[in-house]
Amino acid sequence: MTSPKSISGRESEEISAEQRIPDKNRLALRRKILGRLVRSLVVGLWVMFIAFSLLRITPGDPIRLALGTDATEEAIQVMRDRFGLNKPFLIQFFEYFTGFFTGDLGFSIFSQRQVSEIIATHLPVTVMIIVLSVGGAILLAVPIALSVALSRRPQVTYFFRTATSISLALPGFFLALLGLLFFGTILYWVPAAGYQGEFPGNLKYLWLPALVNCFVLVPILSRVLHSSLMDTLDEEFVETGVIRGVSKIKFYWSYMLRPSLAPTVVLISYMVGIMIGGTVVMETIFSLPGIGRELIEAVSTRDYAVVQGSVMIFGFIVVFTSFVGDLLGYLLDRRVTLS
Amino acid sequence: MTKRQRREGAFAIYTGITMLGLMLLAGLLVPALGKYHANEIGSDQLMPPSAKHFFGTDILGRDIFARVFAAVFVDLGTSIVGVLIPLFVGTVIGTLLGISKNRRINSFVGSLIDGINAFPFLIFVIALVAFLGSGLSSIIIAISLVNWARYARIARTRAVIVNQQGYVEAARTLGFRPSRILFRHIIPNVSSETRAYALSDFIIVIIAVAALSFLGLGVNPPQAEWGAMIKDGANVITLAWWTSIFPGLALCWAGISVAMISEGLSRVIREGSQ
Amino acid sequence: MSVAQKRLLDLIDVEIGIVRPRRKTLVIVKYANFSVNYGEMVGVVGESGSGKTMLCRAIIGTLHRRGVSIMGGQVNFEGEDLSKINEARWKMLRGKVIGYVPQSALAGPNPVLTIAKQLAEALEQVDGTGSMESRAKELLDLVKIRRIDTVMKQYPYQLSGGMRQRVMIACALASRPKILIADEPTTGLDVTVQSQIMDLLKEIRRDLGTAIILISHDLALVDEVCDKIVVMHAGATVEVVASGNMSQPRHPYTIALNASRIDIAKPGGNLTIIKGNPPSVGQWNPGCRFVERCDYREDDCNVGEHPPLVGEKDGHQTACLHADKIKTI
Repeated sequence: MTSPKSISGRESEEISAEQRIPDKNRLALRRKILGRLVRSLVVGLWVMFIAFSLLRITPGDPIRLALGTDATEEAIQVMRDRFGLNKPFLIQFFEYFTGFFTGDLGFSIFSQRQVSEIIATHLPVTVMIIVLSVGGAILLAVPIALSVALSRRPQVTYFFRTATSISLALPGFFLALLGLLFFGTILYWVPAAGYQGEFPGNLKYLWLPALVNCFVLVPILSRVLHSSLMDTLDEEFVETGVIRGVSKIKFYWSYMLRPSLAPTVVLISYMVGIMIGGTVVMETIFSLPGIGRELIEAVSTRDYAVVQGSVMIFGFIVVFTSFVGDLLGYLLDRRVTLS
Repeated sequence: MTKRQRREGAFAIYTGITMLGLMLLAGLLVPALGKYHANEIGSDQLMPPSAKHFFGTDILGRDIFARVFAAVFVDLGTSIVGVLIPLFVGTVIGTLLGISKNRRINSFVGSLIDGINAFPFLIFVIALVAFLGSGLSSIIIAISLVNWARYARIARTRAVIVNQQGYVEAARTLGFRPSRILFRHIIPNVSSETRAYALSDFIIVIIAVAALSFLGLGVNPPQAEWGAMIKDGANVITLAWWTSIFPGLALCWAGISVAMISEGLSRVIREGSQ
Repeated sequence: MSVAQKRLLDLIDVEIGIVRPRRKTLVIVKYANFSVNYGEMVGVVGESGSGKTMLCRAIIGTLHRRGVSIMGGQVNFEGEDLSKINEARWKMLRGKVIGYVPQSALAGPNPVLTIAKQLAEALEQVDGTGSMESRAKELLDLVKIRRIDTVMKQYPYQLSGGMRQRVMIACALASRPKILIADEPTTGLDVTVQSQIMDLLKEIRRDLGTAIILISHDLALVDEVCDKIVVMHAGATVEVVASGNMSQPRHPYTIALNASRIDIAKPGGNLTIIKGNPPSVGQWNPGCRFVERCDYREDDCNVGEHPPLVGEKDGHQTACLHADKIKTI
């Protein structure tokens, strides 16, 4: 075979701008990621501001509420000074803001501990539940969505859509209660109470809460993945993959899953927010020492510094995961915009 | 296939409406005609379901059947208001943001919306309830304060698109008043999107309202409410399963009926748009 | 390379349809007839819905993915009937001996893989000497892409439509196929890029001796670049004619198609259009499927089967009962 060397030269018009400056791609990528990071930081600042404002815009005096009606005026003033509530609003926020970077999130009146200390103790349990839930949900959702998409039978799709929408409508705390009743008091698969923090041992306590969370997570994830898979299956490059004769595993990954995954990955990060809500309820039902249970306790004891701190941490977790999710989605599929 | 889809969609909608209708009917009739009042304390405590007490009695001897159906309008009513207020507020604010040309206000309110949306829904509602105090009205206020931002985000994205559509441009060229263009042309097209979201949001809010009471942050006793009843029953669930199961099933029933309507509608709409 | 006058591909009365549960089988193509010689460039033209793409997929063996199958006739490729072979055999032919360039350049390449990876996928199926990278670069050079090192690292979305289609052609050429099927390869590309791609295809045919089937709805384009034109209407071949002979079409559909060409329209004059719409897929009346839109129809056009394609093989063939009469008009 002789490769024709005589080039008519016409294709020069086609060379896109990106090609002329080889480094432009990398620069553009860096700028995109940086832009997304800046947006996350701005949103993070808002999160802190909103969490901070909660205490200050409350109708009624939180200190008075916290100390009860029989507190002396003197004691209230002492507490107000201690919380810095007598200073102007913006000064207070500035102090809170700078305090955050030195690990000072305020002081819990009720448990006489630093809020940061409370969060550091209880956050790992919550994060563990979330990681287990999301991990389990991915393991379940991907094969479900793939098999429904590949079956292409209308009855299967119909059943899938109906079952997922019903599953979504079930209240997690009620399912958790049923699960606890069934696995805890009938089968004894779940310890009724208590907790042990080391990694493989704590799974005994955490598998059921994570499973209940999956009742919400799996339907949403598998539905989104299913619809993007259906879109992908109609695309022409799938045909190209068949014609190229790539191996089965490669075909499923590069030609079906990977082009379809980006919306799901972006969604997972958004789902973490919903997951946190579910996890708070799970921690209460299963008496797990997570930060969600601390929050509920703090709400009922009016321990505002803890409420403020834990709400803010949850906000940060969501901001962070959505940043990571967007980034991962972009790395999987460069067509995704980082907006 | 498309005909089949429409038929299945219609079937789901009718199933959902029937389920919801039956529940509302029972919510109306049972408190009016039933033998027992929801808060009536009886001497038969923790009685299993029987001909006398269809769903049994709770730890205070109250009839669970009466309480489950007395709670229908409490739960669904709170949730409906908790959806309608943010739907309205969010759609209006989002639309105005979407068509406004003031970049500073736009990015300021835009990032506030992102900030509110960053908080997990239930967490933020719990925190607000902590500061507002418990009770139905503070639940509604808390849900509205959090949820409007979600509607506003949807409405803003949609309004930017609608604002560039030919029919809006045409109306502008014809010299219609801006308010007329806003209410006649932009809001209806934006709200079609937010209303569609409202239906699926309704399920989330129903569950959230019950979850708040379940956590002890919702209604004040002795108000009959599903989440609170499930919580009361949870303490004695090993002795008397009926105390939690029946209100829980009622909650599931409500959620599933709305899910069926929402699923059916999305099917019919998808079919119509093809 | 000399063009040997030997039959490479021969389609005889091909029928393609979808078997549907509890409903009538939907026939998309019936009486598709044409042949391709080694090194020949054949253009297939027709309106959308005329079965061009389905015919393409029948030759490349991807019909079954959509529940479609060849229900009758023969697709002879080097003496082997492609309508009878199994998937294992297809794996050896598809993408190796029979290459394919997809319809839309924009959707053709896999969006999540870099160009280098896509070329490697195409190359790893075939034997060759040298490193994967050098072979990939050689392919890109073959389709005349410059700045090869940059392109290799890029994702499809970073390339222009014409570049993407060049890459797709490079992938298709990885195994040096005997025949290349290009299904409307210039859809969505602008005119200058379109002619560059056409030049490239012509050069590939000239230098590598690859036979090419070019599917298009653009009669003028096909007439310019191909050796032979196959005109399809409503799932049937209605005329096969050597290019350059478009001044003497015999089938009324080809005549109408030819008359509606913009490039030969009189300046300032009205553009001729073909009246009516093509019949819906599978809803064909008895007799000739063009009859309702035909200016030359007679009573016997409405009865029996679709008229057979007559004329000498490799010569001018027409599927019209009254072709002789039309010729003299």
